[in-house]
This record gives sequence, structure tokens and C-alpha cells, in this order.
Amino acid sequence: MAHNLSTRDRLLSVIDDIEIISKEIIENLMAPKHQKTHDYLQLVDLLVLKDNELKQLLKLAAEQEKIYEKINALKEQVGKYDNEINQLQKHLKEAEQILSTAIFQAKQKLASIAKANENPVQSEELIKYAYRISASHAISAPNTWQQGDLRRPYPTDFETRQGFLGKTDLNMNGHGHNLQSQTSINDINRSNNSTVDSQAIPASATNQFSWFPSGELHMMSGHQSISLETNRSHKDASQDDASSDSSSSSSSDSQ
Amino acid sequence: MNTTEENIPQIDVISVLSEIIRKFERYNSAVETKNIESQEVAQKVLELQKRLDEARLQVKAIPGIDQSKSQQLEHLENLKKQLILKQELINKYKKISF
Repeated sequence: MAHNLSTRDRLLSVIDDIEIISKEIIENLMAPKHQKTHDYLQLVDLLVLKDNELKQLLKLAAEQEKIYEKINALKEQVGKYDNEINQLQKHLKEAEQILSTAIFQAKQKLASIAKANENPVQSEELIKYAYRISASHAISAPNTWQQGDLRRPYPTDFETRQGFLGKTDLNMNGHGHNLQSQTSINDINRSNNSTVDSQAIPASATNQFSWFPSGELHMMSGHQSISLETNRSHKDASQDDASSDSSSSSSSDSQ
Repeated sequence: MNTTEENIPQIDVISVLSEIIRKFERYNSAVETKNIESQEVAQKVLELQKRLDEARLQVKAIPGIDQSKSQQLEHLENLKKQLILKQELINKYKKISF
């Protein structure tokens, strides 16, 4: 059990013992004669023993102090090694992450290559297709497009009227004058892209049907003009404020 | 090294005790100077007490005696082993090639 006590505890207990013994001696010295005991020799011997023990413990303490300094130096070195190990582990971890990301992406690319190889397409076909879909400015705006420009990636109402459908017999009746005056403006806008030749308007006979600018279809009956119900009149209310920038481009009368 | 030896206090109680005994003898044998002698004895007793207290403080201040010597040596050995293992680990990490 004494081996597990720290040297400090042993030293302190020896000092306590010495104190007790010396107090005993002094009390014995000062006590009146009839109370004196004759254990002086024993007490003194004990004191000398304890003093020797104290000296030995102090030597041990000196040795332990040296060992303590060595331990501190080793602890410092261990701390440095710990730091180095942590750094290396961090680097390894980062490298592993980067590598695993790269492998994942490489696998994805290999899969898409395999998929592409299953259905090969000629590069010329792809280029032609690209030209076709970008010809009408439906993919991106023309370079000169600004906010407020009326051009849209889909055929607008105005352009449709300028086109073949707008120039048929159905529409010529009563509105030919208006339409022809706007043809020149339309030409400037659509010079590159128009597939409909707005000059080639078929000669129209007098017609019973006519379109009004508001979009309603009227039928002449005798001398009266009766408005016909079309799907358009239902849709108008919901699509009037349709954002002209959105690309719900499938219907021609989305305005 | 020198500082280590200076840190270890030299605790000398016996000399004070023997002085106390001598003074007391003088006190006993003195007739005229009993007061002076008794004062001296009392002083010496106080000095003894002071020496003991100082000794305790000095012992508490000595570093590195929290463990017994065997425990300390074990601790030292463990640290040395740790150092070797960590050095090996670092070398291993540095030598990894993919």
C-alpha cells in the first residue's frame, strides 16, 4: 500500500510524525517531575529514524523531479506528433473525397457515353437540327432585342394576320386596307424569318366573314353584322394579361 | 540539473529541537535570568513550528511527486512507446503510394 502513495504524501506524513515526536519531547521536558516519563531515548531514537526517512524521501523527490522533466519533454514531442498525424489524416480524407467524386462523375460520363453509342447520330444532322430550331429566334432572343421590343419567340397575333391565314378570303373582307398598311412594318421585323410571303395575298372575293381587330368573328347577314362565338372569346379573359415573355408558345393566339 | 537540486528543501528540525533542549536546560539551571531564558525557549519553540510549516509548503511546491516512483517510471515507458508508435504511423502515412 505504501507503494501506491505518492511521494508527496509520504513526505508530508513523515513531517507530521516528526512534529508529533518533537512535541512529545518538549512536553516531557516541561512537565513537572512526577509526570515525566523516561522514554526520552526511545523518542529521540524515533526522531532520528524519522529524520533519516525524511532525508531519503527528499533524495527520491529529487530523482523524481528529473524524471518529471523528461516526461514533460516527451509529452511535448507526442503533442507535435499528434498534430502531424491529424494534418495527415485531414489530407487523406480530402484526397479520398476528391477521388470518390471524380470516380462517381467518371462513371456517370461512361454511362452516358455508352448510351450515346447505342443510338449514334450524325453530326451533320445535329447541326442541321440546331440551325432549324434556332432559325426563328425561338431559342434565344435576337442580338438587338431590348425590353419593350414586340417580337416574341412565337408567332404573334400581328404576324399571323400578316401570314397566309390572315390573308385568306376569310379575312380580306373589310380589313384589307388596314392590313396592307401594316405590311411594310411587318417586313422590317420579319425579313429574315418569314416563311409566308405577305405580298402573295390571294385575290379574295366578297366574303361573308370578317375579323375585327378586337379578335371577334362577324358574319354578314343581309346588312347586319352578327358576332359569332368562338373559343377565342372564352379564352380572352384569362389570357389578356398573359406575360408575353413566357413561352407558352404552342397556340398562335395566346394573346 | 542545478535548479532541480535547489528545488529540494533541506529540512532540518533536529538542530532546532536540540537548541530548544539546551535552552531549557539553561532555563532550569538559571536563577536570575529565568524570564529571559523562558522567553528564549518560547521563541525556539515557535521557530520549530515555523520550520515545520515551511517544510510542508516546500514539499507541496516540489513538482513531479504526484505519483510514486514506480508509477512515474511506468508513465515514462508508456510515453516512449506512444512516441514510437506515432512515429511509425506518420512514416506509414507518408509512404502511402496509390
